[in-house]
Amino acid sequence: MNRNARRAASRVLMGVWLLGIWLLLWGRIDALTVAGGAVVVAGAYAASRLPAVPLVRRIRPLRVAAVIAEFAWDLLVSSVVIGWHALYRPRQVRSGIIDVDMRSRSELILLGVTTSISLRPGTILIDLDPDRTVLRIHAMPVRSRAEADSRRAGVATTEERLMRAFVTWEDAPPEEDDR
Amino acid sequence: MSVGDVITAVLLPVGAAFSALGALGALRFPDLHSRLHAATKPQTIGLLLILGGVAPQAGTVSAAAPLLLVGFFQLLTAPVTAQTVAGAAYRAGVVDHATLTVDESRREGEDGPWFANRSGEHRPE
Repeated sequence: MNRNARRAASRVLMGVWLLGIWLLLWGRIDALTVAGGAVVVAGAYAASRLPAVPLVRRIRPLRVAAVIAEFAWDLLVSSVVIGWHALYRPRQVRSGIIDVDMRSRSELILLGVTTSISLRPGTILIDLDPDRTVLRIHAMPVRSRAEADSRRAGVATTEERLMRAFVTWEDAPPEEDDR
Repeated sequence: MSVGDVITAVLLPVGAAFSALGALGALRFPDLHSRLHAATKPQTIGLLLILGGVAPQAGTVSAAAPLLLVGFFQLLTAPVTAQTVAGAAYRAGVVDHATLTVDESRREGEDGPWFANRSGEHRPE
């Protein structure tokens, strides 16, 4: 699949997605809502000139399920941890600013990792270096250097899981040079 | 009481409790960034649980479908807000070093604690 085909596929998929949201908002599927939705999506696309979202090469459904399960579990655990600290000695909670090296060169993986970091309690992305290879995160609670290191390892694990679930063009370029 | 009612009876209070803990944390944590953790995150799980609790009461699938959208957009927008506020505060220097045990940004020294931006200039002090 060359670059143009990928861009076209990306636009079609985005259109289908927008149509899906439209149908969800209406709460019913019939000829009129689908036709009306298609017109609205085409109009919105033409008016906003949405950029083509980069596509992934391959999705591994089981790995995606693992990513979602891991995320849900982390969300629950870290919410409980932050909730506990809100109740017990909140003034004494300590944090850390930690740099994490990214392995992936893909913007999609970067987006996935940063979203995952910033969604779960206890970590927020606060800065990104110009080459987008280092994430700077604020984490809490961090009481020692060992805890900071385990937070860093946690982010690296999330990235690795995402990279296994979504095989991207940047991280696994095809053999033939058709890019 | 049906299974749906039991799910609602469990998820609604738990979701409300998480939201309340978030509010409490925003009130009690010592500095801006830790307050931000409490202000943006437990609400996410709180809202998801509440939506999960409301869904069985919606009656039809098409009535419950918008709840899915609410949850999805919460997951999509919450990290953007958190990142924007946290990043802005960090670059403005609103960091209470007394609450930090580890600060790996300090080793950059004279460049300032934040990364230089894309054009190669450094953000103003």
